[in-house]
Amino acid sequence: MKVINHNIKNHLLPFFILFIYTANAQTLHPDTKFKKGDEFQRQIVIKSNCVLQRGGQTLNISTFSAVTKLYKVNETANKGASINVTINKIIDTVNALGHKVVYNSDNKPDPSSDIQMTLSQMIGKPAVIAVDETGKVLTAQKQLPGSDTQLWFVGIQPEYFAPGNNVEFMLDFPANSFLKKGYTWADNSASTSTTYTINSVTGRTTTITYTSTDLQGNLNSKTNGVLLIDNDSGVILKRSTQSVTTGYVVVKGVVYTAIRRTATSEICYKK
Amino acid sequence: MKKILILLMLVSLAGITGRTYAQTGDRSDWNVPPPLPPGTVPKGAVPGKAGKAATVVPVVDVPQPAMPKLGEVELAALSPVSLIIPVAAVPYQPAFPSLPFETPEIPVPAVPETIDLPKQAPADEITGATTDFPEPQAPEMPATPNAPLTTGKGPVETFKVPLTPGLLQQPVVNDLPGTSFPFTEWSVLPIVSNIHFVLVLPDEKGDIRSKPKALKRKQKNAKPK
Repeated sequence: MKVINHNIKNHLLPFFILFIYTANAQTLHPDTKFKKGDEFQRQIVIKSNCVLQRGGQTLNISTFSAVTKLYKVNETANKGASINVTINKIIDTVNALGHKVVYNSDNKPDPSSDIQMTLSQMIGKPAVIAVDETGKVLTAQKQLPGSDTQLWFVGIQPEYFAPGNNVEFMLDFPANSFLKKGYTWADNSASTSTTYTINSVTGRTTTITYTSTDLQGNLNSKTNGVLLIDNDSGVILKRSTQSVTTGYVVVKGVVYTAIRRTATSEICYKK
Repeated sequence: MKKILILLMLVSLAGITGRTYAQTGDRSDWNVPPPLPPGTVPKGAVPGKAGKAATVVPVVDVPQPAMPKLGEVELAALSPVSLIIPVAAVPYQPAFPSLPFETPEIPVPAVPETIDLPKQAPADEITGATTDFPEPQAPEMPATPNAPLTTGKGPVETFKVPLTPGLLQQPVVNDLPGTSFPFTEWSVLPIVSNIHFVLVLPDEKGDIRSKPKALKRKQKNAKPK
């Protein structure tokens, strides 16, 4: 009996180790290891074409924008971090009703232009959020300035920090050396459903394609995207998307039927 | 005789000269100077002595007239919200900003098909087809401008004003043809004789109200009884 017990004990130990390793592998996430003072710079370039229609009235709006954001780690605690998100630079061109508005945050805004004054209010006003080690938002003490409607018309993608969602420059995905091309998983919420598929894997990066459908409020959106992710940190080094949004937009109390087609290309890296 | 001739010549010369002088200083009714503007004639002004300066009455306010009532401004009804999705051009994929390190190439995402509109459109937030049109308030009196300085002197423009034009010229009246209205000769209709009439004669008292004796006129071609 003693011999049997000793033999079983010796054989069970590697199984336990394998079991633990396997369990950890299924739930292994990139550990960002935020450090105080870390800075992540993100640059987003967006081209959009939007059409608003009501009766015989049609409004075409074309935009081109380039936004630079800085995510700075202020404090770290329990592997999580407190991050300040600041918009440092905006270059925006809006074509509508035969007129063209060009804004560059490096120049003084034109006080007679509502668009320029609205965009200038977004520069240098940080949002303050708390995230965990995977980049998931825990709390948002302060949001970025600018309303969704305003940003929608000038072709800038708003970033809203909702608890439970990841910050946009990181992706929480099951990074694993066993993951191969074709592996797919889904992330669904009440209004958004996203399906991710591994496109290619290298030693340092993973390319993921995704399709997302967002049905909320008065707007329905469909997005096709491609991500290039740093395997170690989970930072999205590159992202390109093509999306279409249809729905209803209220302008000065009047409802318009709207469609917007958008193409984005963005990068993000640790400075 | 010679003296008489000289006398006649002097009288003629005097008459001509007087007529000549009479022609100067046109004082006919045709030359009427315009009335002087108020405040230019100083009171008590006499030749050789300046009169008192006229007092310029400051501008006084008058009651603001009542604002005429206007009907409500009604806006045209809005067209119904379209349920047809407009068409928007697909934008080209912009280039990536430069990274400080090399990265592998990634595929370009496919353009998604148009997604359906939400099932229910929101209602217009504006209510009613009328707009508020507040009445403007009466403005305050502006600052009184400086009164123009006038001395009563200066050239007075005169101009001839014809008072009785056409007085010397009488209208010419030509003989109008007899057929022109209302000078058309009226045709005189023959008087229709009534062969049946009753000649009322007064009675003995001279009163015609009582039934007098009627004198019937014998009818022509009447058959004897």
